[in-house]
Amino acid sequence: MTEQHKPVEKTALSLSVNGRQQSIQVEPRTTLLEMLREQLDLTGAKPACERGECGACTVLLDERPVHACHLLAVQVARRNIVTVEGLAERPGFQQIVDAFVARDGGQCGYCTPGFAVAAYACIRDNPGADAQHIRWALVGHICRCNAYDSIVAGVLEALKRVP
Amino acid sequence: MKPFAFHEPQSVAGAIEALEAGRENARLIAGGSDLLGQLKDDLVHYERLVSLGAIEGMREFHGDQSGLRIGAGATLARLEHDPLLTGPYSILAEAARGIATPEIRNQGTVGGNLCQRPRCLHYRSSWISCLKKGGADCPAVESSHQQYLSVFGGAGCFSVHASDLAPPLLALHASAVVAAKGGERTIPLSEFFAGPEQDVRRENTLSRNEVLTAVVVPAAPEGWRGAYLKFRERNAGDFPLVSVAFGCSLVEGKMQNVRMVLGAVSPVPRPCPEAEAVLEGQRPDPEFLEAAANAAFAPATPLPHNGFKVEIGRALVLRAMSQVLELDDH
Amino acid sequence: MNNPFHSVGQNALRLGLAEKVRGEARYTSDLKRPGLLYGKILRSPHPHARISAIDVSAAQNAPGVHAVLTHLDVPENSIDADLKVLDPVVRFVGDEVAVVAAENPPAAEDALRLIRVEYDILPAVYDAAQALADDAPSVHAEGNLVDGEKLVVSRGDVAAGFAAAARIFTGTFSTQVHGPVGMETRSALAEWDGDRLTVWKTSRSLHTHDRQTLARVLGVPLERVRVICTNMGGGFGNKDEGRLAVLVALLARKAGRPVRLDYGRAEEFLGGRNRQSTRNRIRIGIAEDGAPQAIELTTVMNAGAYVSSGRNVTRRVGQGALYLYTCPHARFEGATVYTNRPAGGSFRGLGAPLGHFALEVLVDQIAESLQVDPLEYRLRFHVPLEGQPGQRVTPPDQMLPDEPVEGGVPFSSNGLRDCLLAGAERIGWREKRRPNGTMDGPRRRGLGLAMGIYKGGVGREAQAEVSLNPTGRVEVRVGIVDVGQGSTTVLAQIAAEVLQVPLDRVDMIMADTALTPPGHITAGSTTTFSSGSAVKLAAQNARNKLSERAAAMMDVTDVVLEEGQFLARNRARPGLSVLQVMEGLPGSSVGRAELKAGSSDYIINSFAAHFVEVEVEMDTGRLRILRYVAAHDSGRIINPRLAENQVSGAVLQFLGIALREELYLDERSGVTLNPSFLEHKSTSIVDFPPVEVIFPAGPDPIGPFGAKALGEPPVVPVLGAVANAVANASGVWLYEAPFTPRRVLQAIHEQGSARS
Repeated sequence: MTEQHKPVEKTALSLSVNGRQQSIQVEPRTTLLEMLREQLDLTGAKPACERGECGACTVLLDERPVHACHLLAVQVARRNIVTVEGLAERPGFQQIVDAFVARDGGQCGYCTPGFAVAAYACIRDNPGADAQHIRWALVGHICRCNAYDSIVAGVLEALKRVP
Repeated sequence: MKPFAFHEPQSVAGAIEALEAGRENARLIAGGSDLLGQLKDDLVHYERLVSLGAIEGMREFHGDQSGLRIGAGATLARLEHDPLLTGPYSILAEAARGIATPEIRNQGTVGGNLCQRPRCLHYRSSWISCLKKGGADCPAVESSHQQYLSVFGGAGCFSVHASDLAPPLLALHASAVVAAKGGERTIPLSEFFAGPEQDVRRENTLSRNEVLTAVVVPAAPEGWRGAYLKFRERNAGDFPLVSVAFGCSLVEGKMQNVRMVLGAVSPVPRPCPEAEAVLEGQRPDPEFLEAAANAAFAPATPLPHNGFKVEIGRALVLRAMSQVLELDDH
Repeated sequence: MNNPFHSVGQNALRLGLAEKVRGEARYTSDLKRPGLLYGKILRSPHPHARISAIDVSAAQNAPGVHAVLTHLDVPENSIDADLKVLDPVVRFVGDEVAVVAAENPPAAEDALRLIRVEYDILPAVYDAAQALADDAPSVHAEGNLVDGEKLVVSRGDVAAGFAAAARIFTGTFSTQVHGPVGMETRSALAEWDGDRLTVWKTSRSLHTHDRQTLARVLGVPLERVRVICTNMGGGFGNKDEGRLAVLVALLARKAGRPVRLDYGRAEEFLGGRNRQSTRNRIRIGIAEDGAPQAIELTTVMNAGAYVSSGRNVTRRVGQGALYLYTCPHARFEGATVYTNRPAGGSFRGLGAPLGHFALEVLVDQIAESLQVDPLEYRLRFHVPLEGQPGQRVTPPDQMLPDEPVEGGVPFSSNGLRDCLLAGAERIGWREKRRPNGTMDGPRRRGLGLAMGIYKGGVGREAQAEVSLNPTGRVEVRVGIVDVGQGSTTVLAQIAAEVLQVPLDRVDMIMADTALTPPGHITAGSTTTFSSGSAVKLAAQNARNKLSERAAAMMDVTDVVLEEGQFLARNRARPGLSVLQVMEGLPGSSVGRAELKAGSSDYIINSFAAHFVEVEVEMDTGRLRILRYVAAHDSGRIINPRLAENQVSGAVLQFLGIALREELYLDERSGVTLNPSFLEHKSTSIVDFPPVEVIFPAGPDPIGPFGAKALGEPPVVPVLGAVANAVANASGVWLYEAPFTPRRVLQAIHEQGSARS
């Protein structure tokens, strides 16, 4: 028995990232997060748990938040990915940024882009959300600084600011 | 993660074909929430993954007077919000809302939830050999960390089934639709799951080239109401230490069609016919409820370090009954 | 309150946060260099073994692999006293065996699988008490007791104190292992340019640790080593070890290309540094009136396989017992013990929360026994401004320790009483608390409180430079790392205050050894005090130069600075604005400062009192936190919003540790069973209610603008406060943390349900 595996074959993958069509060669075992960060240099989604337990890598897949670390890139062929960098180009996101800053919604900032992506989806889907609703919408996100109270305040503030 | 090939067939037949072609070394992947973790930790390895993601038909979601048919590829998020899941079926939405996190529910599927592997800490550790991974013995029985193990015995392996959908589906007497090369078969969900006494390396009766394509839920009895309660260490994003699905209908003040299924306490989800029998036809008086909770756990044989799950389980069963019966003290 | 300052005390917005929200801020693992290779570490599957043979030929020849290193390929120089670069002996499951660098992460991972290692298995020991037995396996050749002796610190004569005591109370309290695990895992990127080395690293100590270690171990002159931390995704007292940077630098040197190595999450739990388990035995002797006469705390700390922080973590276990209550006789004894568990290290609060747990629960037991409200007991006997009774030991002109022992020395300030009263008021202690909780039946509610004392002064030597530029910008250079707590903002506020310029004129230059003067490690909650004092002094020096310049420009002999305007002594207007004077500078004008640590006159400590309301489910053992009030004396708060966020976060972080977080070790294999956020039960956003934070105390006379330490003090009282609330609610005392349903149920069974 040998541990030496057959030469790794890459497959061609086409998908839309931040509104732009991409055609990328990946190994099937490459996660969406690795592809975004190492091949497209989109480093706003952060690696932190590698298994969908913390939300630092959250991106929108066909407009719904998912963990990029816990999907194979080949699983999202032909679909639409929007990262935090892509959200920055959308109307309404600047208000989220401003609201997070105004209410100090983060400390070290490493989990913050993931929270921001989830907050965007939460605000879009539930413009009338209250603090409790926001907490449950963001429950897939760990902040080890535990800046949770300020993050909730930030999203509540964003709800007021987003038109 | 070791390398593998990725196949994305467009139909169930194609998936079965791809599985067959892959022989021993092919595995289905739906959302991948459970499988990817195991691949990353090298707990399992397959030469090829056969994705169900492109098979539109597996996301079906139908309901009428005769019951529900839910495609195995339907996302857990769909269950949370679908307007079909009201009345007796709201127990499914309730269970779905308690699974993992919104992001996982956007990706994870009904089929994946039912086919998930155990959360036993020893099974999940890449450095530890165990029966489920082809090892010689179970290291968990000697461990003092047995919170994710069975309190109802095991055939050498004491891992539990942690699916949150299985207990309520079993309480609703659901069936599994399984596709194979020759066609499709529908089996009661209770026969879908299988414990270590059958095959310690598996948790269900799917054979290698079969695909779980849907679950079918029959019409619920008139006035049937259920609740799913899950006791977990964190308030969210966590697997159950103990869970219970309980439901019944009240006819002239008496309980009928009583269903009780425990989760996360046994190798497969555990229906409790003894407890159901205690309640069937009785008024919801505290003495019967107490007796039913005791009956549910009377056969328990906890390991040295997980007896507390029995205690929690009893309390949880009492709460579930109180909630369904709208009694005050739950 | 009237704020006499224009920047200090204001809720300035956190600098850099907008870039972080947008995902633009680059952390170490976001960085790339041309030709970048990816590193991975092969870790030991055995808890204790000697590597008898290692064959890397297949790995070296694998496609895309550029370098492989084992203990045979690395310098002899040690990283720490007990840690080599790579060691032929591995001492825990997860210890580092070899490293590789390859074209991409999967190629590196594949290469690890090709390394063949033969191990001679050695006996392992996991329990600290067992490790101290004569026949225990030796984790290190020098023996399992770290430094070969127990640490003993005392005041007075505890034996005499106990002999004279009317009553003696005792208790034994245990705490388990838990991981700090910041969101960002450890990462380092090394690049050589000839014999010059640049390392980007997750580090809370570029100047004092990483740069020194790299230069020493690699044999490179210090001035050719540059270390940078662009942004840090959480520190919590972690990320100071030197091994990662050295390994990556060696890989890069061998490969001839830059190499980045990122830890995975499980590696962070295993190869990072955790707070290890302790067993703490406490005795308190009291006089008839309840006054403590003697306090003794004995701790055994399981340090794991290596101790990067030496015995500092253990020492801090004794802090509360030695000083929180007025008591003539006090003694602390701590054994730090090597075992074959993952390495221990410093984590926010070090040993202090563990010792405070024992102390504050036993004090509640004393109060209950005396039928005195625990708040009243503490108001009567907490250590006052004057400090402990007795004679000063430290010679008058020498620096006093900020982990105090001796009596006869006053605090610079002591807000314990303010914290007790304000916290009690906020939670409604006097109205709500009943001796036996507030509910009967299966769900019971109760209130608890605990105090905390923590070092808080000039803990470290500190330097700063403040440059005033003709462009109208102020550049502040400090060598420290903002680990995420917000020191960038707070130090900028201090500079802006001194110079009376708007905050947005201040540019902070930090965490790069090439651009900053030497900076201390971000540790001991001392950044605001130490580096803040240095920035303040440097800014004052710069301002003095600017004043001279202003005087010359205004053709007067002397000027005063008021509200951003230089005015003649007679305050005749118009004067010149600070910015006008800066813009007239011929070049940059630099103020510098260099501070020594410590105070010779005062003990400088921070204080806290925490109040919590809990609900106990008697039938499941589940605890619910219903309310939490954290009252803190950290002197004047430079930025209240950031401070509230930091205290709230610290309390939530420790509530998770109090209720759930624990790393499990499988004693058959030595394997850590749950190295993940999920199974470590890292706190989620729905686990606890919002924390109510108050700062009732006034400014400190010594600290920069009256500030004292804040980062760690909020974790110190949490365990005790929760345990005391549980006892009030249920009558059941908790002696082992975390307080999981299993342990709570066990305590209920063992102690009986005192009230039914």
